[in-house]
Amino acid sequence: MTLRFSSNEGTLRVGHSKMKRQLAALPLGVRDILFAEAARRTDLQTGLRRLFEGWGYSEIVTPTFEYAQTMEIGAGPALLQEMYRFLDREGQLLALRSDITTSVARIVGTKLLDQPKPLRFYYIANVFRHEEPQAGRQREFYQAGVELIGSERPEADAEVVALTVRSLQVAGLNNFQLNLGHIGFFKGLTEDLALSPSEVGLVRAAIDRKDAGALRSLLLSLGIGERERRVLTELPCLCGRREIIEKAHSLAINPRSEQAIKNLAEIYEYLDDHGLVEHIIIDLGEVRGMEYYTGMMFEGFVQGLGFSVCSGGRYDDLIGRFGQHAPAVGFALGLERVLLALDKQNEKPPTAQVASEVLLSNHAGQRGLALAETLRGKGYRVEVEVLGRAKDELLTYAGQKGIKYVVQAGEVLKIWTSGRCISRDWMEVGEVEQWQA
Amino acid sequence: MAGITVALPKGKLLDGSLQLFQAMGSPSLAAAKTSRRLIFQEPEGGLRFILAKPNDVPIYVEYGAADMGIVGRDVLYESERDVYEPLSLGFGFCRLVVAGPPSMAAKDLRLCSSLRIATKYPRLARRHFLERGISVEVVPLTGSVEIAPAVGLADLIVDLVETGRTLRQNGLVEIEQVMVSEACLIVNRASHKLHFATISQIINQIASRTSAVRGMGQ
Repeated sequence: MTLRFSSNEGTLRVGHSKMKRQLAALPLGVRDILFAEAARRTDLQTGLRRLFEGWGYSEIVTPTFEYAQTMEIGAGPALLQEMYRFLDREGQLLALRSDITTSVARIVGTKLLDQPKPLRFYYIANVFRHEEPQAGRQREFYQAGVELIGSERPEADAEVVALTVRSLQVAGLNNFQLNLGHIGFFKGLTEDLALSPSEVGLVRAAIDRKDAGALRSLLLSLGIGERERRVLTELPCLCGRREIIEKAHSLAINPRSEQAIKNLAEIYEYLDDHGLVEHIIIDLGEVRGMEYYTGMMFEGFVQGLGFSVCSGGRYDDLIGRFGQHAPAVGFALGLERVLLALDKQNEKPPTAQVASEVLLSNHAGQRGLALAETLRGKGYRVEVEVLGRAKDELLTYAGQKGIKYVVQAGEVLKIWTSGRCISRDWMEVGEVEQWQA
Repeated sequence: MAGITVALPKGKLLDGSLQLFQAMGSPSLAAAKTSRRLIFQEPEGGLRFILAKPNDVPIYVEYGAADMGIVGRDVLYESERDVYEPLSLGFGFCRLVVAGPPSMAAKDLRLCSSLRIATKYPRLARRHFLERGISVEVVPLTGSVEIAPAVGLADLIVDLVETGRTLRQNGLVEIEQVMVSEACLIVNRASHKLHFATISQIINQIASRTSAVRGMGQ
């Protein structure tokens, strides 16, 4: 036994270092968030939380995983493919949450039917999607968003859009725009064309790629009449300010498409009341979005970032699939994308104060620990030495971490700051602030 | 046009791309064929051009490092990048086909239980066969795909053909077509929205030019 071990020693060592390397590895699409970066996110979250609560939204916390069957309700083909599914010990198929709105819809549809409407919820949570990690996409990412449930009126749509604008402002972004569209317009344009769902899918895909040539030949090959063809090929160009609404109105071909434009016009007027139309671009050429959107929908873009930072829309049919029908509208922004956009805009992120200000040397004793508590109570960030280092090492460490005061709480209180040492008799707690002087 | 960056593909589509933008009034590109520089800036806030490997053009554009670019549709679809593709440009035509030795051409591929396919287009090749229920093993290569059947690396290849001469010289025949490709203009989603007027104007200029060229060709 011993012999075999000693002869294998070399191999074992190799095996050990290989194992260590494996322990360092990360799966694709997740990340560690450290130090200032973590503090920045927390600050952003705190700002958003305060904003949402100020608008009367209360927090909702949904489970990290649910029955896959639940998560699949309302999901489009892409999202269905991107879900992380796994079996529990009873063999039930579960899924990590890939979209918070679906969970909120389940909760509202099954539990909150008799609550006074409207309901206003916000969440800040991580979601999981098996996507290729590229261009702003990760497999685990954080979303902050709101859901406003129980109103089908344009005031509700406008409130959610306005809150999106305020969120981006609170985050510290400027130079952003929201592209506001209405899926009802496209659905109206295509509903009388006698197309199969897969044919509508093809038309939608061509519009989604803004592939005018492919769209034209596709519509011809599907035998679409000239008027509808002209309107559909014009969709990608319906992008601009208020005048687009009038232009689209003249292009509406049936009650449903007309209703969509009327609705969009009303929402736009309310946004004008909010004083926010400078951030709004009417964009009827966008037909992507969550599968469950039924009305107005939007995406937010920031100068300098190649992909959207937030999106939202109205989903009047989703809650009804879990229980009683309730109209709803919401939005979510991607925290990582917002932070990235802040970097691109060279905005100073919300100040991240992470370093301690006071380092209390070891052997602090009862008196020293009480001093630490007092200082913390006064809002100082205090760490107490736990490595037993001597003074010089402590000063070096304090220098590296940007700690302002190193304190030795012996018989005499010694405070080192910017290389100088202040020695004094044990001071009264109230004198602590005079350090600054 | 201020601040708009255009990624142009080096290689086969470069000539057509340069011609297009030179004809639209971008003299800085005159040196693009001979210079080793990779960035060309029009004066007074005009367009900026970068020269990139064709496979990289969709990447530059998806990330927004370039606002728009020119790329072959074959490369674009293989890349599966999320970009707008508003315009086909009427040059750089070629076809992506399945080819193999004549013995393979006689077979019904749907009845083959295992096929090995050598290609520079692994995603398109896999999708082409899997969508029809044919299971294949895709061997991704970066060049000289035509020799794969002769040396026993693969049963079939999926590759571009323009005239078919390379296939013939390597004893291969075309079996079926995967897609037709041509140069197309791609645009970053965010740029399209943030610089809508400028980018629409460029698209319209290119569109009127390419349709004029097409008109002359007919």
